[in-house]
This record gives sequence, C-alpha cells and structure tokens, in this order.
Amino acid sequence: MSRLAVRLLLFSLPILLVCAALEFRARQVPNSYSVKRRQVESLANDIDTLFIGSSSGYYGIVPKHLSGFAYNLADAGETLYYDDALATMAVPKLPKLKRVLVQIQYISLYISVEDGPEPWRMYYYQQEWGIPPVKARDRLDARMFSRVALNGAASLGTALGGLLRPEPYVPDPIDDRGWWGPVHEEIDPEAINPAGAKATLDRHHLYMKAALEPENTAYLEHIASLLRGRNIELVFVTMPVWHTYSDGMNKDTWARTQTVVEDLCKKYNARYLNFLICPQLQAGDFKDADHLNPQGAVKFTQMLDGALSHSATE
Amino acid sequence: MSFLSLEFAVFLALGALVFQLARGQSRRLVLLLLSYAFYLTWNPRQAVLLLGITAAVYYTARAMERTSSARGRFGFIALAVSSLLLVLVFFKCAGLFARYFPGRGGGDALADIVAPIGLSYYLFKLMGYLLDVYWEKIPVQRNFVSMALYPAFFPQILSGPIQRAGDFFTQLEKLGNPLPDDFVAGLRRILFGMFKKVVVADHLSAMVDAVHANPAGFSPLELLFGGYCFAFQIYADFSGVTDIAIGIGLLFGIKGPENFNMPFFARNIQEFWRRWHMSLTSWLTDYLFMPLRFSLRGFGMVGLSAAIFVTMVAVGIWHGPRMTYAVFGALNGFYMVVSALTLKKRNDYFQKRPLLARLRMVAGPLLTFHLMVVALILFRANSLPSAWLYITHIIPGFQSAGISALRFDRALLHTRQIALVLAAASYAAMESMNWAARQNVWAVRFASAPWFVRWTAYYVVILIIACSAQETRTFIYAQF
Amino acid sequence: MTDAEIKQKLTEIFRSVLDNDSIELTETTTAKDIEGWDSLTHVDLIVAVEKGFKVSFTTKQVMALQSVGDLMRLIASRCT
Repeated sequence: MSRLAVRLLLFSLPILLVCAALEFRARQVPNSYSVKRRQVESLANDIDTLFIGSSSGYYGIVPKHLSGFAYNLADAGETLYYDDALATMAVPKLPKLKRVLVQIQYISLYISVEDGPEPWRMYYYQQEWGIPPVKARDRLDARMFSRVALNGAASLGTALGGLLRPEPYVPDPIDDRGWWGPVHEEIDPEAINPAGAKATLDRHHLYMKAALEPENTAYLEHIASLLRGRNIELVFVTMPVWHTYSDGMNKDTWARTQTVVEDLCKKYNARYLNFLICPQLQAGDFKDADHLNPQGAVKFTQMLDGALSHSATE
Repeated sequence: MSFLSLEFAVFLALGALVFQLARGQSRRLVLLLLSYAFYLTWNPRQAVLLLGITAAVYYTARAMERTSSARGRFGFIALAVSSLLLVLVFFKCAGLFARYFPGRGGGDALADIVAPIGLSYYLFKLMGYLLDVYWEKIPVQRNFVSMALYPAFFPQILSGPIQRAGDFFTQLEKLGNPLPDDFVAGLRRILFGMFKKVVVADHLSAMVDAVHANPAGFSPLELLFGGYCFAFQIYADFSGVTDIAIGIGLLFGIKGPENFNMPFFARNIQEFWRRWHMSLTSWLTDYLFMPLRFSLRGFGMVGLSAAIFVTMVAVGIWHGPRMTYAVFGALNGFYMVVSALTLKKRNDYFQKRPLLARLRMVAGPLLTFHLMVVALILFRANSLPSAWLYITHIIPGFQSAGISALRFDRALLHTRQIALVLAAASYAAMESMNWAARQNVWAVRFASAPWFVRWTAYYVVILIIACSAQETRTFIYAQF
Repeated sequence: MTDAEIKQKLTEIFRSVLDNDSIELTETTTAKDIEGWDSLTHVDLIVAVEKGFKVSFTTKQVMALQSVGDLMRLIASRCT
C-alpha cells in the first residue's frame, strides 16, 4: 500500500506543478479589486476623502473633481457588509483621512452578495482583500483560495494556452483614483426608457429581501461609530437616477431607508446628501436608468463637491 | 459537495487516507462517518431523517426475525414496506400537491418540502433489505454500524447504483484487506466517468436543450438528431456518474453493481432493459415484477402483460411525479408487452430464414435503439404537449411551415462543425472504451503495458477533461 | 417421490418450457447457468412445476429460491 502511495504521489507531481504554475499565472491577472487595493495602498498617505459604495458610485464619482485628494473605493455589486469591512480595514491605514462618503441607494438595505445576482464577487473580496464571506459554510469553498478554481475549469484550457502564448492584458479602464472611466462606450438608448428601467427594477426587486434590513443597518451603524470614534466626517450620499427608475421605486421601502439614514445622521452627527432626483442632469448624462455615464459623472461630482463645501461652511 | 468539485477531491483524499490508517472494524466506522459528513454538506436536517429511517428499519428487521408466527412476520413486512413507500410518495408528491391544491391542507408549507437527497436510492435499498430478510434470502444485520452504512454509503447515495444488501454486507466483512489493485482500478474508473460526463455528456446538452425548448422551430432532421443526442447524453451522463460511484467505492474496497452494459447494442426491448440502469430494473424485477407476476400467474397472458406493464410504469414514475415520466414508463410497458408476447413467434420465424436472421442482427439493435430514442424524448420533454409536438414534428411533412425536412441549421442548434466532430469522436472513444473494458484481453494488455505508457494515457485523458470542462452542470440523475 | 424422480421430472419440465433439450440440472444450478432462464420465463417454469407435480407454492417460498437444489427440496416438502 505504501508503494502505491509513493506511485500516486509521483503521478500527481506533474499535475500539481502545472496547477501551481496556472495559479501563479492567474494571480497575475489584475481585476478591479486588485487594482483598487494597490492604488489605495500606494496613495494611503495622501487620501483625505474616501468614497465607498456600489456601481452607481463606481461609475458616477470622479475623485479628481472633488476638493482635496479623493479616492473612489466603490465597486460594482458591492453591498453594505463589504462597505463596512472595507471601511474598517482602510480607515486606520489612511492617516490624512478627513471625510468618508457612503453611498445609499434604493436597494442598499435589502441585498447581500451571496444571495444576489453575482455571488462570485465574494470570492474576489476574500482573495484580494481578505474579507471572509458572511456564511461560514462558504469559507470551505475552493474558490475562496484558488484563482484557478474561481476562474473555472474551463480556464485551464485557455490558461494552458496562455502559458505557452501569453496574451496582452487589456486593463480595466480604472483611472488612478479608482473611477471607472473615462470610457467611450456605446450606450443603449433603450436602457434609460421605461422598459429598460423596469427591467432593472424587476431585477432589483427580485433580490431585495426585507429580512436583511437589520443586519445591513447594523453595518451602517458600525461604519458610523468607527468614523465618529476617529473624528472623521461621515456623509451619506444617494446617487442620481433617471425618473423612469425612481417612478418605479416602492415609496414605502425608500421612505424606510431614508428614515434609517436620517436616524443615523442624528445619532452620529453625520450628513445626508440625497441626490436621487437631480434636475440639473439630463437624459444624456445617464448610461442607464440608475447609472451615470462619464459625462454625467463629471457634472455630478462637481455638483456634489459644491454641496459638500457649501454645507461645511454652514 | 458535488462529485466534480475540488472540495470533494480533498474530502476523498483525506477520507481514503484515514481509511487506510484505520484497521479492521474501525474502517466501517470511518466509512460511516465519511458518509454522514458527506450527507451533512447537502442538508443536516435530512441527515437526521436518514438516520431515523435506518434505525426504524434496523429494529423492524430484528423484531421480524424474533417473531415466529407467519402472520406476525407478514404484519411487520407489510407495515414496514408500506410506511417506506408512503414516505417516498409523500416527499415526491408534496410539491405537486401544493401546486394543484394551493391553500388546502397547509399548501404553502407543503410547497417548500423538497425531497431529501438520495431518497429514492436509499429507500429502495432499505425496502430491498427488509424483503430479503422476510424471504429469508439473507440473515438479519445485527451490527448497527453496518446497517447504517448501507443506505448512507456516500458514493452511491446521490445517484446509485442500487446495491443489494446481501452483496454489500458480504463485502463489508472483507473490508480489512482491500487490494492495491482495487484502488488503482477505482481511480481509473473515476477518471473514465469524468471523461464521460465532462467531455461527452455536457457537450451534447446545448443541442438537446435547444430542440426541447422549442420543438416547433426545428426540422425533422434536427429533431431526430436532437433525439439521438439526448439518448447519447443521458447514457454518457448516467454511466459516467455510475463509473465515478463505483470507482469511489473501489477506493474503499467495495465494488458496486454495474448499471450499464452497452445498452444500445441490445437486440430487443427486454434485452435493452437488462442492459440499461441495471441496478434499478433488476431491483424492480426482483421486488415488484416477480411477486406480482407470481400472484397473477393464474391469468395467463393477461397476468403477464399486467405485471410487465405495472413494472415499467413504476420504472417511469420512480423518476418523479411527472406525466412525462409516467407516459415514458407506460410506453416502455407497451413495448415490452408486445415484445414479450411475440418473441417466441419471432424467434421461430427467423430460425427458418437464415438470411433474414442475419439481417435481424443489425436491424434488431437499430429498431430497439430508435424505439428508445422516441421514449427518451418523452423522458426529457418539458411537458406532455411539448413531447407530442416534438414526436409529431419529426415526421417529414408534419413540421412547422417554412422549415424544410432536411434542414440542419448548426447555429440554431447552438453548435459548430468542429463541436459536432469532437462530440462524435469523443462518443466513439467512450463506447470503444466501454467495449474494451468488458473484453478481458484489452484489460490485461493495458495492465501489463509499461508504466510510462499507462501514465501517458492517464495524463492525456486528464488534459482532455480539463480542456473540455465547462460550467459544472449537475448530474441528471442526482435529482432523483 | 424420490430425489432422483423429482430431478428427472424437473429436467423434463425445464427442457419443455425453455425449449432446449440439452439442459442438465444439478443441485447448484442457478438461473445464470441456463440460457433462456430469466425473470420472464422464471414464473413460467414455476407454473409448469406446479402443474407437473400437482402442488402450489406461496410467493414467499418462490422468492426464497436461490438454486435448483432449493427448488427440488421445496417440491419434495410439498409432495408428501
């Protein structure tokens, strides 16, 4: 039996070596999480304003148009659990940090990554940021450790080809402050129409769960107390949406979210800048019903900057 | 944990290691713990159910053994088997009941009931055990660890094969000394099973899904092609998972029963069902068909036909409470009855005509294969109307307007030329391997080839599997 | 009836039902050893045995049969 064990080990050796090579190669491929982590680390000593949130902010906030030295840490599909975890991790490392902007949207209090449309993001949060998944069971998943497992077995074929013929890497269009842009992309004019907005809303409603409100509120509360403890200003921001989206929002749900945010503001002496309906923005500033395009992002960020400094002087 | 996941590979490696380090009786315990650990990763509450049912069967069998009166024993077996059947029917049909009678009888709670993983497999194993004890074919199992291991044995719990109690318990006795050759044979079997699933079966599914999603949109040729593809897909998928199950069992010194024996070469329908999903059909033959047939022996041909028909419908609905499965069973029942009643006359006819008899050697399997392709359309169809649409549209002239009979649109079928060539090649490779595995001469030749030849073969297969892998699809038979 | 007579008559029955004059039976013969003896013909054989020996069996007795030897013993026990 021990002879067999030795033979098995020898047999597996080439396989393990190939897998190790693939894993190494796979880890060299950057993604939005690895890029942002490196940026935050290298800019740690300069950042005085941090924006945390999901895709609306990732596409919609241009840090260069904010006063001071701002960084956009938002990423697509991010939920409050990860907002909190990132804030907890990043805030102590940013000595000059004076202000944190936390994005609150219609869906924020009611979604989670693992039960959402893109659960695979939790593997990236673990692998790149070291943030564990909410459910302990998920920790045992091989995709939490291995990039090869995460990319799927299908990648083995292409990766093997890549080992032999490395392809030029096309980077994510993230600028040096974490904003996704500027990108010239074909915008589907239908996306902003009622039909497109309804499709987005239907998808959002599918994944929103009332049962998640208490724990998401707790994450917000944790961010608020963390920042107050360090005397860092907290500003909640709601990114603009086009009226076709806001018309379809459930009024009670949104009112509930606003109540939660306003209570937190009172308790922790924070501010809430609600830009849900933004009359100065036109249809041409949006890429779909709930995301700004690069042109709109620049416009909006300037508006936000004005609002931030305006309130500060009151 | 799915069989095809990295976590399972780690679980299996660790399990095999612990098993090797254990000695004698404790190996049974190791297997039991591994099996329950495996089951717990699927659903903890259902694991409690499994344990509870196993304990109930254990004590019932022992009580039955201690009872001397025939009536007493009959009482026990009748109660036990009907209870187990009730459990099976309850879980399989709860969701159905809730759909058809919403709001009634706690409908919403019922709708959430999901049949426990492996229920059909382990309940059949336990019923078989009880009946074998009742009919005094095997002794009662006194050891609770062995008893608990039988239904829960993790390689077989998800998709079978359904091993008989007597065979399993006999092998458990010899667990102390599994042969190193068995271990390697097990690994080879697992590798082959993965090849069948990942390289052959998964690549046929896109085409099958396309034709079944919209049968009216395809030509007779495309529909026929889709029918062939599904027959090959389910064969590759299910024989693949059986290979993996048997292979894993071999790592621990347990050999499970075979499920397939080149079924598409069967010369008639009876023979087909003796070669397809063999562990299920032989179970139903021994525990349903035989007793039923025997009780109906006074009714001659009618009795025989009824027994055959009921058994085949049972094969169908074992897969689930859907009309398509029931009609699948009924159709096979019809095939079998016609074939069984006319077999003698057919044999006599061909015996007198040697030339036609030789033609029959080719026509027989071809006809049988096509009969099964039609039946399998029912099995796969999304609904009875969809199946009817599919089958009628295969007939040239009956397809939708504007579609020519011999159209073969690769794009509509979600495939490309190269994919078709690869699919055909991989299927041919698989069947050749299936055939060679049964020929002792090839097995011996391979085993005695020098190590670098064997290792190269293994590496090549592993490479092909790795390059063919797509998003993991669940095994078709794990939902039963 | 003696064991030899039972075996003789049983062999005749098997040869007749399975249409094969070359069938030879021993104590340990099972269905695997005889071509044509499958689940479908098994009951035909039992029915023929019942008629030929003028006995009748219960389902339980039939299910417990493992070999020709078992069958011969069953017949002997019912014949007396």
